[in-house]
Amino acid sequence: MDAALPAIFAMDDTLQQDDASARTPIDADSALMMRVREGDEKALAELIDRWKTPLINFFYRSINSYAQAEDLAQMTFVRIYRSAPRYEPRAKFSTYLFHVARRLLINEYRHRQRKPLETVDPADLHAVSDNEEARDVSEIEEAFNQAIGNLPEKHATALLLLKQQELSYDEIAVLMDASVGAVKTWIFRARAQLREELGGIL
Amino acid sequence: MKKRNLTSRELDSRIDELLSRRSASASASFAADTIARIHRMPEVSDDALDAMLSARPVAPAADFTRRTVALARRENKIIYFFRPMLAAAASIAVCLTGIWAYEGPAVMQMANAPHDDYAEIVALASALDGAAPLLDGNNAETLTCLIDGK
Repeated sequence: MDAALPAIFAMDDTLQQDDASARTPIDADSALMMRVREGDEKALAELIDRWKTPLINFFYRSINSYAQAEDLAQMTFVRIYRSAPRYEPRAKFSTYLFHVARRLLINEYRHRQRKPLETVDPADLHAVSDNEEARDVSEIEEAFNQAIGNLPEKHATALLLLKQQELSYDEIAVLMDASVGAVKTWIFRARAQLREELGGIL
Repeated sequence: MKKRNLTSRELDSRIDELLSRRSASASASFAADTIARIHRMPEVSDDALDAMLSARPVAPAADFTRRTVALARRENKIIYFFRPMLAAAASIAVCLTGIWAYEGPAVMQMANAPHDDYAEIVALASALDGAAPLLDGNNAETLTCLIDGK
């Protein structure tokens, strides 16, 4: 089950939070989850507030659609809430959260393979701007998201978890059920491919 | 085109010759051109890549938390309220199906068969008729009373 992750981070006192200025100990998230386990919806709301931005951005970079990123983030929290009665704080909460998130992401990729759709992201419609600089930024964003989308799922996820979510190699290895060596290889290859694809843009 | 009959050895050597031929040769400045091209391509620095990767370009909607809590509550209600009901209904259906599967044919068989009670009464009456001469009057009367339940 989702909650049954190896306990190798149980002793890890490092910090993990939305932004560097608001870093709080690992216990804060676990304590909130324990309250969620007791059915405390305020604790759930607090947990969502703390993690919604990293989670939505993780999904957004992975699938390049704001609407779907938000849907997947919601589903992640719903899954977390549903499995709360079985939650045991054996791993860092971020490891648990992104483990659930990645499973949903893989399901989404499978769904897309079965039913490929050309989706128009409402966020993209708002991106039209007369401002030349804003348009350039938007184009870079688009190209970057495309390049990430061209990466194999494992490579993209590992790289995003490392750089965007600031997870350690060890945490990523546990979360992705792989060896640290494999994770490093995926990240190296992802970087190489991104450099190649974005050579003329960045 | 004139066809030539080649032996297999000749054919092999001809193929080898063709394979080893280098029909196109690199220009004298090929290496220099390639290096120049590499230099012309702007290099993506790790810093630029990291900056893009660590950026969080989208922000959640203002009511994201409220909507998500409501959704979680609703989903949970479905699971904890309706699922046991569905499970109970399913188990009742399974039980009824089981009963029908095992008892149904037996009931049908009983309905089609001659009535058991009737057969029993007939058998008992025959036995009594056979035994009657062996019993004296009092015993026969007592036995009859017992059978009749008086």
